[in-house]
Amino acid sequence: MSRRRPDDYDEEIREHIEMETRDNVARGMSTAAARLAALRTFGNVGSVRQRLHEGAPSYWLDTVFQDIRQGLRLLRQSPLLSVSIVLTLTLGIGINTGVFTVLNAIMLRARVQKDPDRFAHVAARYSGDVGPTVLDWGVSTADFRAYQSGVQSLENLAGWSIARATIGADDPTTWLIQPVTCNFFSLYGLEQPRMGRLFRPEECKDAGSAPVVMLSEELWRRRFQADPKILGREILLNRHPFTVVGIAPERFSGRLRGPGIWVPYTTQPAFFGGADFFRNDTLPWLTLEGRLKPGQTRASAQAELAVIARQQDRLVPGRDTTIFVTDGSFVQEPSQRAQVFWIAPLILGALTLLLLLACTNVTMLLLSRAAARQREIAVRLALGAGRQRLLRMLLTETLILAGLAGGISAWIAVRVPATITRLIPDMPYYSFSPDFAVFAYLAAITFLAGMVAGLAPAAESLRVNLTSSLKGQEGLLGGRRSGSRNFLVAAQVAMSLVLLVVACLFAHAELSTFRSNPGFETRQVLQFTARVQAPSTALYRELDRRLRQLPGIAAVAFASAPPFSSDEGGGPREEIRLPGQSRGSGLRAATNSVSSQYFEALGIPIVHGRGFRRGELARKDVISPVVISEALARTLWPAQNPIGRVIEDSDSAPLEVIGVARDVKSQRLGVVDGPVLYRIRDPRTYGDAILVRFQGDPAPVQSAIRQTLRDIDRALLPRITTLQSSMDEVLDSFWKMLEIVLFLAAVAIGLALIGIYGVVAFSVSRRRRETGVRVALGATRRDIVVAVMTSHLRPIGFGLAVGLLLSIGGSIALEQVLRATPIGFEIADPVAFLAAAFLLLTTASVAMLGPALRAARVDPLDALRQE
Amino acid sequence: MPEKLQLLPGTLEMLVLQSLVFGPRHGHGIATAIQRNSDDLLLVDHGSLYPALQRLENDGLVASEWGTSEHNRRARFYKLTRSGRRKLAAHTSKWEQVVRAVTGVLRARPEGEEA
Repeated sequence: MSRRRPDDYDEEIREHIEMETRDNVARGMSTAAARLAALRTFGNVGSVRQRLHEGAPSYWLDTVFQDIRQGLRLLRQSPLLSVSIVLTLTLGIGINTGVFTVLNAIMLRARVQKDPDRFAHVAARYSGDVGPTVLDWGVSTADFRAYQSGVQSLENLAGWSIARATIGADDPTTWLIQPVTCNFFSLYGLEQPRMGRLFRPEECKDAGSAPVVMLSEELWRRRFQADPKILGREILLNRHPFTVVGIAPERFSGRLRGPGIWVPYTTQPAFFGGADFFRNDTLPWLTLEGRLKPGQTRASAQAELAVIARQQDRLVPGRDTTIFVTDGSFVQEPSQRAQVFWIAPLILGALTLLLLLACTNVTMLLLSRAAARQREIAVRLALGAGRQRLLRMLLTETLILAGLAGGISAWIAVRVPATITRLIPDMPYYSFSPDFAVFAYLAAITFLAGMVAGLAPAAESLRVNLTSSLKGQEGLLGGRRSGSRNFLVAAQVAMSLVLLVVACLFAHAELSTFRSNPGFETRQVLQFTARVQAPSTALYRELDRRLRQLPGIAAVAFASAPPFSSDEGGGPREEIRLPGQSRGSGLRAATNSVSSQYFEALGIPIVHGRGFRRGELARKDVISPVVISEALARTLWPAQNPIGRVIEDSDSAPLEVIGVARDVKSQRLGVVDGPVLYRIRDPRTYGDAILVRFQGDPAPVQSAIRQTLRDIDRALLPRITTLQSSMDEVLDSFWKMLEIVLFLAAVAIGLALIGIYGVVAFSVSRRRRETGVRVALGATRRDIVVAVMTSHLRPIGFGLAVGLLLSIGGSIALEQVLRATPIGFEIADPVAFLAAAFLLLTTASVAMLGPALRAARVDPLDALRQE
Repeated sequence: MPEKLQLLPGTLEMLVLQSLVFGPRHGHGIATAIQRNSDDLLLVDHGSLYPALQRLENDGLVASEWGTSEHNRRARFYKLTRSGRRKLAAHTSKWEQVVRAVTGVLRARPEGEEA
């Protein structure tokens, strides 16, 4: 059977009518009458052809091609409009997909390549009487062994932790290192290393048994120049010798960023700054993960682990374990729950906003174009095109544009994750290869964008009054329809305002808060930590003595919580109670154990009382002297003299307040520290940070210090930097974030500019006749300009109001998210809000000015003549 | 001239299939055959034949190909396929059942009386 083409039907119909005509002639009619009769008997040729067209099996495909061809032709006709639409949509779709790719990899998937559905991540937390802890969430070695031997619902239970280590004898750079149990690799799907072997079970049996190490391929290339004889070579990690036994392949992510080091967890005492989690096997440090056995659920695993946990708790009186089993994705990690609660809607909100912004813009542009095509649409309708068919044709045009934008976005989506990885330091390696979820997301929002942007103009196009449109009079999108346009303008203004407000908040913070004085000396203070091999009090005393003798040194101090040492704004927290207060009702304050010259070294003034005296010690039988920060003094004894008062620490030991130190902003940029308790440092402690106040240029002092350290311990190679450079590092990452925000704000302004211009230009062109009449009746140019501007003022004002509310909500969410970072800024910043609103208003006015001026230049005769 | 009768929906396909029982015809031939066999009583817009033919062809009940008409001109000829024949048989028997039933009701007398 041959394929039917539309021409076939035409020929067939023609032939049919011919035959009928001939028959009629044979019946005695004249030729003309015969033909007429034949046509009458046939019926409506046109509608038959139409039905045949639509009934053909290839109809749908043919029309789709037709629509696409038509759409492409239309694009070529108005290239400027098409390009701006595609670019706008690309911005919206591209950025959206890029961010989603990152989100998907980081948050929504477990970080395993194979079988993530049965992956189980165990998050455990100890509360109650636990003593000093390294991590909030973690499992102790003893508990791990109990879980491993006792659990039935999980298989391949592995544990890991993350630490830092130096490699070699001369390099002070630290690298991330992951102590793992030996089944870690099989859990994460690595069966065959690229070279060498994986860990053997006996290497994880006893503490300190096997100093072997596995390196990632990237580390092997980067640090060891892809040495072919790497296997069996001995390297120094934290100056302990380890033998390289294997290289993990490049794509293996484990838990670390590219350059990764894995050691058996039994070698733990070499890391973590001297803590030994095998001797003190009740301290938490491990994260556990495993796979669910067939038929088990995460809930059942959690219940079973909770039972074992309770048994373990009985061995450590006063301790209570809470345990969760999640699927391993970031969003489900209990330690991140608070942040996720804010991050997710924040990011999703921003993404949706961006997409909506782009779509709104495109809709406005398309509406303007639809008006210009009303004649063409009217003609089509008059010629018999079905409305549904026409709607499909119009939507196809928009979908083509969206498709182009989607294609470009796919390219962007591959680029964005790379950029984001560079922005976030120390981010573990995630495979950002777009998976099905990403492509589905891309397709979905491309389609959505096309539909949303195109539906309104398409629907508007069809609500056409045939007669008046054909005559060229107003009928389409006249005054009655301006409601939708006003809504779009208001929406655009509101969304742009939100982005602008965020940008202004960041910019203001950057300009003022962060650059302001943190309250202590940063440029003339060097900070370092001496990780000596054999630490002892004598050694530190010697170090102290030698440092003081160096030229240019004004003061030497030790501190347990130096500036910028904690992400959360403060060292370990302790509960400070007034005498007589019950446990749990006191004030939580950050604790800093400092030597006597601390305040002098950092230039922190003591506002009441005195600082610590040299040689002052905390003795067991005597009440310990402490210095408190202004914030602590204000909270405990507002408007009273705190000197001489006694407070209790969390062990109920009495403390006497001997001085009050000025508040400083030492942990988070631009944010004053909370209450701080300064204790006198026990000279027997070691491992603290050393702060050195010097005069003059830092470089000679740095090398002098380095030399001194090497004299004491030849293997010491610490990083010695000024406090200012630590601060600059934090500012750097902030600056990168600011770049992104500024970019988004620029996008917002650009889109608002284009959009408002388009709408106003369009409405001005619609009302040309009316403007002409006005001018003829005596309106001045100024009157016209004012009229145009004010007519659009209401939607803009409304948009600003709504946008303001949205911005307030958005900035509250932003502040919550940033709470866990060293960046803090005030959101109650009226200057930023006002600046943003003003900027947007100016932009809108500028956008409106062009069309308004053009309207004022209208020649009344011309306008009135135009039909 | 007696009034033309309206064609019940769905019967057009049946009539078309029937007209092809004795051999392939072109569209015009089918139209004239139906008209002739019904003594001009059945009202068939010649035009409505073609969508019906298209439906039948889409369903695989008829097949078409180009041929030469009696006037030595190119025309498209339709012929029954095997499934077309089967469908026609089924349609016909169903039609006859319907006719019998309706006739029975139309000729019914009140209970207890004979026709």
